[in-house]
Amino acid sequence: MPQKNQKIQRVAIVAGLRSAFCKQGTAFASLSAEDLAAAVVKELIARADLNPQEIDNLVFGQVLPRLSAPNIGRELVLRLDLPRTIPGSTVMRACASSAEAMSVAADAIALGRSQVAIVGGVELLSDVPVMFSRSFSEVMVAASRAKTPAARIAAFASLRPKDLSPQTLSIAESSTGLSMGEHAEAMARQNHISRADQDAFAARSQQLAIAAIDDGRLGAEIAPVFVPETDLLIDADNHPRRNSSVEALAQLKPVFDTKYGSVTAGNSCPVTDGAAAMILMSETRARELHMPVLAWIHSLALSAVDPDWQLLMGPTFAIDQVLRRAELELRDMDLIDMHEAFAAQVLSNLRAMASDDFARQHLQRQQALGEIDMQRFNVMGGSIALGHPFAATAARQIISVSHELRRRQGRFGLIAQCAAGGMGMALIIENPEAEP
Amino acid sequence: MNPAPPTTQVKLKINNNIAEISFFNPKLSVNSIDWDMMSAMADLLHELKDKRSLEGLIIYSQKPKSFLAGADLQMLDHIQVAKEAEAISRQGHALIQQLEDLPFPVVAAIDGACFGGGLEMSLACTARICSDSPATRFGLPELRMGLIPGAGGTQRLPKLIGLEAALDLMLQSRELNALQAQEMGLVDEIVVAEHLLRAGREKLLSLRQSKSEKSKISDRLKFWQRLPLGKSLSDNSVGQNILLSQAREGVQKQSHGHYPAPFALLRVIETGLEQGAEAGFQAEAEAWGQLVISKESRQLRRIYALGRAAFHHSEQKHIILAPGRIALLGCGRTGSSIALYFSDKGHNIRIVERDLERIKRSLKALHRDVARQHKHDPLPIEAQRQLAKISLCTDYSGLVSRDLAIEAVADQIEDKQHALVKLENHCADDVILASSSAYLPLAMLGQKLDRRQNFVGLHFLRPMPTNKLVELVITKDTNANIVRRTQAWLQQLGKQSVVVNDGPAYYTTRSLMAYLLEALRVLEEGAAVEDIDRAMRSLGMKQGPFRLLDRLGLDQTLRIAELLQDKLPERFSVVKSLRALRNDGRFGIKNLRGFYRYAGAGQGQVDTSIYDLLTGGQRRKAIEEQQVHERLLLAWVNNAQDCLDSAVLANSDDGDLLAVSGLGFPAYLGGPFHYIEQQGRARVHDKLLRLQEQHGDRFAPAAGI
Repeated sequence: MPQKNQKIQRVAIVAGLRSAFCKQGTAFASLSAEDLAAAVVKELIARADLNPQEIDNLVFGQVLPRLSAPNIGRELVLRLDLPRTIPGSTVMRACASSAEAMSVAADAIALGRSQVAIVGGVELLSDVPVMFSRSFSEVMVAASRAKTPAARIAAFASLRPKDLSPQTLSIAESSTGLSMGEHAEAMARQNHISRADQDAFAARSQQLAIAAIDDGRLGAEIAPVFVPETDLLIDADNHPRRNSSVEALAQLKPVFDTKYGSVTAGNSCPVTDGAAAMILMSETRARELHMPVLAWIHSLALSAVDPDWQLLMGPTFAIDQVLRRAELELRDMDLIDMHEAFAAQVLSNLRAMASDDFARQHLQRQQALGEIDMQRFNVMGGSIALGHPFAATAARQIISVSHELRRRQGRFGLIAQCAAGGMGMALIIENPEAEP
Repeated sequence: MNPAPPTTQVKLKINNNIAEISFFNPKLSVNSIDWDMMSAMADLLHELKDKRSLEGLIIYSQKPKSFLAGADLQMLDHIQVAKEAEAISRQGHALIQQLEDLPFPVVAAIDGACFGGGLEMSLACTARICSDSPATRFGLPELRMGLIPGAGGTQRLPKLIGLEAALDLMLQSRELNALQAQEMGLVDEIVVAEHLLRAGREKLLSLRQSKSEKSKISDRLKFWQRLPLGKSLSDNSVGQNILLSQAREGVQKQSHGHYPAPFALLRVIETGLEQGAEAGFQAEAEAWGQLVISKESRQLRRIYALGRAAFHHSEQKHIILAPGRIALLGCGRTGSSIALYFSDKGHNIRIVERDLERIKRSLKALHRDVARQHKHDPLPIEAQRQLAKISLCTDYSGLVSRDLAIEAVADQIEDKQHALVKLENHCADDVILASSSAYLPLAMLGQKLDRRQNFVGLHFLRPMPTNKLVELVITKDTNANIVRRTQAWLQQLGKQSVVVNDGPAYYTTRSLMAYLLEALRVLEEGAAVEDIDRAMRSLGMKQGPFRLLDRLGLDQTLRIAELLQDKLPERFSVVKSLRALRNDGRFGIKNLRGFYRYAGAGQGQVDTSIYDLLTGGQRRKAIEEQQVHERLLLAWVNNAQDCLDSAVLANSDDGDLLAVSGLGFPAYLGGPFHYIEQQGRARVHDKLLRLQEQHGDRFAPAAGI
């Protein structure tokens, strides 16, 4: 609810920073999600020279929280010794979680309930919860409710060996029973995305990422993270491949449909550990604190499709929505950044956006959203090269696009993600230096 | 006697047949015992003594975090005669006896600091319960002031917790928290603060029911203390004698006989054990009276009062800065201790390092130091929070709104000048700019700055976490307001600060160097390292000069000596051996090579291979202790006086405080200036002239002597 007599505030992104993205089980394996997120948020606040007393909200995304610290947002407030009066919360919108965190905090700022917020997301997939069977949980509950030692022993006595085998999480859709990769295979089949096109797109992602690393653009967005167990200071992504080529990618075996499939480890994104965070402020507060504005949050949209149809087509629908809301066209976007879960998913969406048929059938538009100029698309590589720490990816995209817009003196940047469950999210940011 | 202004209010109320006496000092942050309080308390106890029908009495404090912090030491300052002091002790005895003699049980309900007379009063109660607050602490730290407990503590404590534990508590001036106090049998029960009075009433009722109006000592002892074996040492006279004579040896070793109080303490305890409580109280009062007027206690109390004054700079009371934001350039030995200290006190600190490799090295060291402090894996939340206060960068980002910017880069004038300019350029106009140098000329360090008025020197005396003193160095350009702001900062950090003017190696480093270089000369003349160190320890230095040199670093010492030789050639010249040792790759503890061995066989012993580098070789000459004392001490004292004469120091009290609390100058001597006073200027002058004749012009008496 807006406050009385409150005019809607413009929301500024004043700073953003992320950790390096490192493959699951590598550089960050000995850290917890709190360790990693805390390191990034600490450096974010210090580098921006923001007095922690100014912060009034902290919203963080995490897809797979540790059960002993389910609200990492609040954990971060306490762990970083930020003013303890800052409420901290955790949101989950699968792979769009950090965009969701930004959306929640930005709305509160726009409506006048908050002035300065820290938002972001973290995923530490080296430390995923391991689950036991349902019957094991039932035994544990029965034992904890038992009033006598005998009853407790009786409860444990009912355990069977198979109850004790742990189950690891699989990244599968519960409604369809298929894994993400199987959905990507299905989309490649339905939209006629060839293996060669997927590999070419993956190679492009790698090359652009390497270029952005080499000229320092990506490094400038990374907070070095110290890992006490190994005494290493981690300041670079460890997945981008310098020697990746279409030829090399063509050698890889399909993973999900080993016989006829086209989705390989090389043309999908790897699962990584990482964290990313941003500082949001109301326009008024940013001016009062003399904080330079990195980007304005212009518009935002969500979408969802039937998972039984094309699970990862969410971005197209969200982009359609966000453009309508902003009263802008795809060609007005100086940069477009789409999360690369799979090359098959990106190419399916690009094809849909360029198709008049698709527009008429699904978007209530007479004409296609438009053909995307690849000179403006995922210009610093994407998740295929950089990796995908679920809840940190969207913030990574937003931070990169904010900086790149300034470098290119462009005005609008469009950022989109597909997310589990058939969801999509898209947002437009605006370069304050390019305002007319 | 002295009409002191009324301070602590003492109140009695009776509820449900239970009496409650509470204390409250409206003026100070702690409750302390003074005349008013003693007489008010005596009146109330007198009123209660015939009310046999009462269930009991609870004594407690209405002051949060302070039960009774002991006697107001200022009331002792004007006492000239031992008998007068003795009378105070007797008055205390009488008051506490009144409490002990009440015809019903008494419970002390303790929340907050319970020290000295406060603890002694609670020892006379039937039972003691306390809150679980971290502020609840116990101790009889009188020895620190050169005194002994004077209100019956020397007699009642050994009875309550056993002789061995009592000796440990008093001789080491140990502080106990609630849990430790309970384990020792000092308190009977711990409850949360809010339930303290309720628990007190419960305790009284249970004491009443058990019909033992005064609980028996044996009830309070742990079961193993009641076993014949466990209590044998404490409870039979042979064992007691062993404990006392062991303690006496320890005290002699520690204090070299310079402080009478610990010996008096042992004597008084012994009297009580041998001749009974009455004689013990008598002996305690007499000893206390003599100690109050002893010169040792006077000096310890004087230095303590000077330290308090150097902490409470009255004007700064209203400036609130927390949590502060600090910029720090360089994270070597000095830098990292600054970072750890400031972050531990809750301040945010941004460190600038030259490159990522150095950041990594610093982070590794900081993590290691914090982990060592906390000894837990994984690190507890407090440690995580401390580390979260420290961030590092290479690009000078995030410095604009810092309150205080400190350079702690390597000891090269050009590097430091450059570092300060960098900080000035990246921080806001009103930032306090500080150098952490221990000796480099401050005016020169600040030469390249535009805002020299904002520039000060912060010489944190080592070891930084425990040494409370800071030499706050100023130049003629330093703005008075900046000095006040810096003092407010230091106060908030729990530091005592003394303002000194810029001069060659300031005050502390200069006078300490005069002393250390003289030690090196005595060594060069053929003496042995351990003889010189032993001599100075027997004078009352906590560690000998060569241990100290190893700690300071021989390379660093050489650099300082070179500077002093350059600036004050008439008083300082670099001694040969220092250069020879440095060239031999001996830097002291930091590379485990110095005067002593720090690794391998013979660890802790003198590394005799150094003698091969010195004239005289392995055959060292015996020396007269007296001579070592005189040369080293007078080198120090003479240079201290020179600092006062050249206005590096504002007054002699500052010099004494820095020397005693900052550098470990023997406290019973009261500091270099008190030493001159006490010895007599003429006598010191003569001694210096004689030393000048024998050893050279560096001993030429300072103008003020």
